[in-house]
Amino acid sequence: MSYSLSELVRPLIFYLLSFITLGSAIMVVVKRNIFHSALFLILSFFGVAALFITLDAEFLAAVQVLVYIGAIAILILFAIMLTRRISDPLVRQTTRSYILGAFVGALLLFFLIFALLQLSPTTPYAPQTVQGGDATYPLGELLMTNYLIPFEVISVLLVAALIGAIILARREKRTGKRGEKR
Amino acid sequence: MKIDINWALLSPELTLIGGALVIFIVDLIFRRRARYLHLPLAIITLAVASWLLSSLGWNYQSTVADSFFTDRAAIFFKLIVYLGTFIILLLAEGYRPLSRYPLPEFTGLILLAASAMSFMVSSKDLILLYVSIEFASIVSYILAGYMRDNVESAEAGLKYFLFGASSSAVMLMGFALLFYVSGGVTNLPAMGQALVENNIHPAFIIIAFGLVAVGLSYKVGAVPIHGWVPDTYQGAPTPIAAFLSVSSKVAGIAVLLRIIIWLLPQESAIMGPWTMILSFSAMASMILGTTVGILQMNLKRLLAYSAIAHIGFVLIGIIVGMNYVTYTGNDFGKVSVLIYVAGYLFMNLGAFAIVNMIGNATGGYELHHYRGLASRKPVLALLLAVFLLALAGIPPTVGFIAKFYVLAAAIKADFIALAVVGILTSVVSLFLYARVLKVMYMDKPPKEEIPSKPIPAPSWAAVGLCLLGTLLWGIYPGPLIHFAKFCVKQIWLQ
Repeated sequence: MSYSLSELVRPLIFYLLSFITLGSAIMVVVKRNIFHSALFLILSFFGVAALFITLDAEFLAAVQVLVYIGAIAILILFAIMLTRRISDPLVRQTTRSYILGAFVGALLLFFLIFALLQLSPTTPYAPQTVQGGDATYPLGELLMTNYLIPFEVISVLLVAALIGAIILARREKRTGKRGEKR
Repeated sequence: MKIDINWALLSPELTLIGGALVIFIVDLIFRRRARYLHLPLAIITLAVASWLLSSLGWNYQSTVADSFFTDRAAIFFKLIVYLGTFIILLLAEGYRPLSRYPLPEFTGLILLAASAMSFMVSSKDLILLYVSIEFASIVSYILAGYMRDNVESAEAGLKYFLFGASSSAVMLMGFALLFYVSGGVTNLPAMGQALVENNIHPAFIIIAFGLVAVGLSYKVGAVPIHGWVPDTYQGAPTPIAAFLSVSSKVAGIAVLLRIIIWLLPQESAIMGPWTMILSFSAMASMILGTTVGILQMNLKRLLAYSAIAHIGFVLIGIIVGMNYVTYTGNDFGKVSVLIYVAGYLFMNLGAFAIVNMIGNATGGYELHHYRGLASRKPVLALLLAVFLLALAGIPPTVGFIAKFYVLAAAIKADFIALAVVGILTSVVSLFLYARVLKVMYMDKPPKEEIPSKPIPAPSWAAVGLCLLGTLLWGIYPGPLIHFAKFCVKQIWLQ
């Protein structure tokens, strides 16, 4: 059953999860220690995954955990730990032009809220969700039929990104005097 | 559930991807023994792809659940992208600083970027569109930062990446908003219809579309997100700067043109404000590109600002095209966009090719390297003069035809303010380019002799091709204009 939660508890859970997601997202920005920021980012990702579950999108929730927490956040933590002096208290962690950044962010927020207020709250625009079943099967089928080309383009994109990453990161084995270690 | 795939439609893109993979594998197997094989392989791939493209037929076709299409305009844009890629491959062969880095992978990545741009031009589906835009961007970041030991190139790649990542996030937000209110369809024309049927408030569409436009403005390098252009052009390998300034922008322009046709409901409530937003972007691009361009002391930065100004001109054509056609059924604006893009390909690539050669010969891109160039290298100086005058829009070149068509379209559609700004910035831009000519022809050459290195044959071939296009279509523009009109005729079919 997709509506096992009673109508009273549902909004409560939504606000709780939103609070966790947004609160930790704000902490990512304001924390002075970049390592703490990264940990709060993981919490924020978890909040998004939980929101997906309340929307009956279990597959998206699993992907969110696997990709964002399992790969991206861990990568960020590795990058922080492998970079010398990045969590040094002497290194400035916030941007100098934060007033401009806050202004642009506020402007974007204002426009987005303004845009969403233009929509009528009663009309459901979204398509019917898959009711009472597993959404993973139709998703896979769509990826192999209607969205076949984007799916394949992404796989070529990954090949290109892989090759590019290797080229940009590998240590060149040069003959002659330039071969010494840097 | 089974779908029909029309492989013929996809064959040019598949050829490019296959060619790139073959180049990677040949390099892995034969290593240094096949050092020079990648260029012929890439040229054969491009030739086969172009041949397959032109044998598709001129009629509108689509495949795989209507997510991928071709029509005359798409073929036109793709041919421009492939031609630009071909010229850039020739240029890369003669660009010395690159020879320390793995070249076959460089060539292969350029082919992959060309296929990504090709997908961009042909996508009729929101998801395919976004994926292909990201594909083109990611490959371009790699290429811009390819000379990783060079601080400037690394900076160019990083700046391009940071601008690209943030504007792509904004664009994705816009896509998400549009996707939500169109009721979950991703087919672009169907989304446009749903926007009308669901009776969405115009303010919502303008904001959502504005977010999308931010991403596209980054892609074409027009004013709100133009900050990356000078630094990336200056630092990136010169052939890649040329690639970003032509092929990548042409694909972005094609996407902008299609999105406006498909997604924007043709009604005055949205067209008015939207025209104003685009006009602001066009005017600001032209004014900023020419005025700041005058102050530049580096030829690559100068060409970057000139590229910003030229995008402003293309935007005029797009504005006219999207307004004028609703009233009279005449596509003067869109025809001018196609002509401008084709002309811009030849004159801009020509200018980059010569700057590339002079950079190889004199070792720098600063203006003082060009002092008295006419007495030391008269042929190169003359060729650069021709391309720069073409960029300024002087008559016997294709630059004049292109600018004339755009401005005529603007005047005919009563966009007088745009036309006036266009004419004024054209006059000012003459000063921008003439400054280089003055340094080359009037100033005395420096005392110390700079060793001149021989210029490889592929570079000469590239320059010859650009010169042919610039002069031939400048003197005899009939075929180009006819072809552009022929291609635009079908642009409304879905």
